[in-house]
Amino acid sequence: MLSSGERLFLLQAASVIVPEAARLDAGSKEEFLRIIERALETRPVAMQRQFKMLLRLLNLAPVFYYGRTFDTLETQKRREFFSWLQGGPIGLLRKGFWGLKAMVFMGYYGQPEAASTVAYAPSKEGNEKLEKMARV
Amino acid sequence: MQEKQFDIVIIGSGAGGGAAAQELSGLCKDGVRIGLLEWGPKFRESDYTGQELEMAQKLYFDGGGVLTKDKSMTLAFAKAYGGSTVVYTGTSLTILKETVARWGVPGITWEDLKERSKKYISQNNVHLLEEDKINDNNALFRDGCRKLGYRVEQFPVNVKGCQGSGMCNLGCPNAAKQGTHRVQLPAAEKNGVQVVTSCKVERIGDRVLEAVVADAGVGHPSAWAPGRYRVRAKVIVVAAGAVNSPALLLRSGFGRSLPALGRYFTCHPALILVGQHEKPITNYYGHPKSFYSDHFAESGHFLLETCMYFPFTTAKNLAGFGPEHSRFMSRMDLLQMILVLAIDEAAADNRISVDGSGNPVVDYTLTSATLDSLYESMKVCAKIFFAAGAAAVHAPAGKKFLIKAEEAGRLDEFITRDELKTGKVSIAAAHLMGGCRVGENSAGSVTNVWGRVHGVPWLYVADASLFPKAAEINPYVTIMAMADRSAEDIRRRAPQLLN
Repeated sequence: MLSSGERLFLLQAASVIVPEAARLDAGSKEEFLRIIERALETRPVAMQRQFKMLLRLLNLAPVFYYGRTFDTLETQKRREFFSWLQGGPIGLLRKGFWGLKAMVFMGYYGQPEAASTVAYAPSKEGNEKLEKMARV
Repeated sequence: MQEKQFDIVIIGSGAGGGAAAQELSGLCKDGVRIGLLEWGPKFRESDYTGQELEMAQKLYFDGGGVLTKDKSMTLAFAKAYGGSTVVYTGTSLTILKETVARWGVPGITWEDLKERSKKYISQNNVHLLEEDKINDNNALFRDGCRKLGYRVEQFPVNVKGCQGSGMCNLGCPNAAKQGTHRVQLPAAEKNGVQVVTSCKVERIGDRVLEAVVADAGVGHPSAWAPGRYRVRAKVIVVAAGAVNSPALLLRSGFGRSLPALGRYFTCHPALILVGQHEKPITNYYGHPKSFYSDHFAESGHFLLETCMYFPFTTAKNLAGFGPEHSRFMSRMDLLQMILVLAIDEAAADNRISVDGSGNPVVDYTLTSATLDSLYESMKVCAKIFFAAGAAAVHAPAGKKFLIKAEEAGRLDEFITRDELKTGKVSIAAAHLMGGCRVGENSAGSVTNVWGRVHGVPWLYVADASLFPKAAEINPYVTIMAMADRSAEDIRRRAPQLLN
């Protein structure tokens, strides 16, 4: 569903949005992309098209500011570009960037293995755990 | 296309459809054939895994990420045997007298809704959790509010044997939450109502509807084989929720004679606010939503509730990204969370429509008044977090990612209205209401005060879409009370409707 260019852009964007994503091993990177692809597959076709268009737009847009496409920018400039999108004056770009962020967070934090890296360890027997902690 | 025949068909099995099914099921003993068609599947107990993405994909439309037309807000609503009662936190409040007065619909009184609510509060085992089941996340909110002199109350919840998984929004993995899937639907089925799951109703005609049964790939198989069906019924009750009920009626052509159809949609636009403590607190163990404050409901038009979300949901609701976002996320055990619900006005232009394929489109504009409420709420929540001992607070409209405790006196400087920009700040609809509002005539409403569609004596609505304005509280008990009224009218009119 995602082209190789779109996959590459998502991985590059992810390493700016969640810096730890740059250190994912090959299997986890594949899982990151698979989660995003699966989420897109369940969305309306129009939304899938809009998201793919957004990825292309975001890769090209830095040309107007830096004279280079996103994939050729250094990390710091990528971060500046995303900061501008997020707080900038153009509502459509802010919302588009929010959509990109949401997908990246889904791909990264949606992996069950991520829970242990964020000190999140829920239990179906949460009350038992509460009780034990209260005794301690 | 296969043919089926009932006397009464109910579409949807959430708070409204479930209540209506139970209340009408008494007619089965007199030979009345009642069918309930539910879009989602009936999940097996083993399907409730507590995994965030897996459950979101299984339970919610678009995985919980349905977007408004302008993409400013997401909406999460479920499709399942039990509808959204499978995924709420079980908070069970009775609508306030002041709210019903604000609804201003002659024939709908607070006393009537209160009496009907009482029945469901009793049936669904609504009660207050014991103090030892209250985790730090909830207790800190209560204590912070009290320190500041804000009114704070404990939520009554509808659980039986709650083990505090904290996974309510992913469907309770311990079968503790008493939604319609645990109470009203089994009772209705026992009385003879036939429930058909994985069945999407596409169109309603004159006492007939077209539906498609598809293999959901999860849960129990549907009672009907996959395929297309034409279902005849003498009475049709639409209870598909505040998005899908208006959409179904619109694509069936009822909008031509009902100009208010789809309009006056409200949704309690919500923000998740997060404070960070220096030491771990208990937050993901225990029931996630034990307290609320309506202290600012009148003055600021917002409500505050405790909440605790999962990693992905938390991450996407924080403004920002990069190293500081990651650091903040890396210690979920330090986080305290508050959900803010803005009490939004019912505006005619906020509406459900359908696109060329008949799919719902949520055309909702966040008004300045709503954004003002959300902005004010951020400062109030920051105060509560700091009063509760938080070391730092993340305000989505903050000029910086974290406001430290020593900066607590400078909230006006750090949280500014102009930073509350759609897209930058993640806003989600909490409770979906309206679109088939009750009222006196077809010019400004869709149904009469008994949920009967104006000008269509055999067609009823029985869900949150009936609300003429926002519920101003968590609405599910009120949805059941409104559905109860629709069911009562059908029972009263049964001799003429069913013969």
